[in-house]
Amino acid sequence: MKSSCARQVFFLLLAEIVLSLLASAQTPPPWMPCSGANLVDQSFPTAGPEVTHWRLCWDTVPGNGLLIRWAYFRKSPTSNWLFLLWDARLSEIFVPYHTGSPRYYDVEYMFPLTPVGAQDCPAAVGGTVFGGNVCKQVHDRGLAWKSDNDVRRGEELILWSALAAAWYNYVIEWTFRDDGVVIGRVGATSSNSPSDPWETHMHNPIWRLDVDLNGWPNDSVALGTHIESLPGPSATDMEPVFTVEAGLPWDPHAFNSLNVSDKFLKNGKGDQAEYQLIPLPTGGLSRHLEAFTQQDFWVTHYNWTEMSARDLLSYITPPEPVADTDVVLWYKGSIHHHPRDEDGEIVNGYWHGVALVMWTGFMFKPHDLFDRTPFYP
Amino acid sequence: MRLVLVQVVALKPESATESARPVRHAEVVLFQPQGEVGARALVNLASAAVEQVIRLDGSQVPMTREDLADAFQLALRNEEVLKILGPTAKSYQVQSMSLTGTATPMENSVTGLRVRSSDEHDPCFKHRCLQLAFRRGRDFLSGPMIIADLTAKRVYVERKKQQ
Repeated sequence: MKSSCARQVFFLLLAEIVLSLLASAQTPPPWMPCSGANLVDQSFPTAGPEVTHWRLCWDTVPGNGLLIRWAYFRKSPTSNWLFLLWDARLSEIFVPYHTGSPRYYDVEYMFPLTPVGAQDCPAAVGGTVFGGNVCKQVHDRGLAWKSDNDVRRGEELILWSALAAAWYNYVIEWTFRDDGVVIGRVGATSSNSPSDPWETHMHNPIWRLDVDLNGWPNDSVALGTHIESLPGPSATDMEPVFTVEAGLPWDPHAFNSLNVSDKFLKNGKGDQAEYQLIPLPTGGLSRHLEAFTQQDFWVTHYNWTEMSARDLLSYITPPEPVADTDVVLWYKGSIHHHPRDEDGEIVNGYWHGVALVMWTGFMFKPHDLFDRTPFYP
Repeated sequence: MRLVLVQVVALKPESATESARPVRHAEVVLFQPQGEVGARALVNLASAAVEQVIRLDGSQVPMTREDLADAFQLALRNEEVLKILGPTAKSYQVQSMSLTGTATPMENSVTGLRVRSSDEHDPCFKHRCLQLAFRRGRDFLSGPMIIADLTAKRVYVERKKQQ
């Protein structure tokens, strides 16, 4: 009896030593330029031993709303922390109406944020309210993968706030998934224009993503391109590299993506790791008279003064080299708002009603970053 | 001279061999309404020195609550606007925000959206123009667009044809 008890204590002590050794083998967290509520440190899964981990800073700025200042991802407890984003923000929301006027620039008025409270961000869905205007949610995100009887549900961290842009509200949402995916979305909601409640219009959010994969130098961008050899049966994929700054359209038939690589970042199999910007349009992507709306993707060299999407054409004139350097990606999404009777009505000279949220966004997805599918036994 | 914004910006060290810590600066944007010129200054917070100043024209300077207040005052001097607003005209207050940047709930408030025209013959092609929106509780005043041209100090009341 005594011997059995001693053996139990021995194994418990051994287990504790092994666990503490495993914990000490974790790479230490990187220094961050923020603290308190602005620093988000989230490991996944939320229950059980860590597999992946995000560490990031968020901030709010009048006009731009919620932005991400730094973001690190760790693909396993013993991996190095991977620097991913220096600064990710909405640069502009351009809203032209169908008759040609008005044409609103919704980031160029320094709009405040709407209040966010427990009703917006309930604890029951993993919500925490920061500062009365930002919501953090950590929760289930549905299926990560399924293979016959085996299945894994994924999890994600979402940060969101909403710009109070006169009669509009713009929900600005940043999602950081357990599998390393980042999703940026904007949702347009609140009220139709009280002057033109039945006039169709377009909300065009344009994101500026200062991507610093594995740090800011040595990054390159390639255009992921799929080509069908029609009328033949075969297909090929290509990744031509941007040598100089440029703007270009997204071709849905070519499955275009902006693929960012760092020449020193390879996975355990020796393959070049990438993060791929993939559009997530809802319905389509618009074109308007203004030059900055006539492309969907832009790649520029980093310059701290270049923050305005409206000036994109001037930023690439003349084009600077962008291979093996510090790059910035820009992407324009579109929300086509064709007003519906459901949106509201005029009551006693005032517009009364609310338009449901309509979304557009993009996905930023790792490719050959892991050696194998994370969360697979 | 108006202070438009001041925010901490993190600039990247020039050399890739330095530690990854950002160099703390403040970006300060100023605007002079007379003459409509602005400036963006980069201040090094460690050395308290202005490192860079970029001249901005009026169209490059973001609009603030002060522009909105000016636009509202212009509107209140316009007879057509007063007729549209009726006896409640003076009850509207310029939308304000808390220290955390959150819109303060108000019963009767005026807000604005920056407009630019695509027609070079339209004053708002180059001028700083703000469309005003009048809110009562949850609802917004319907009717013509009230646009304040802050450059020309004029107000345009535009009625759109129904689609």
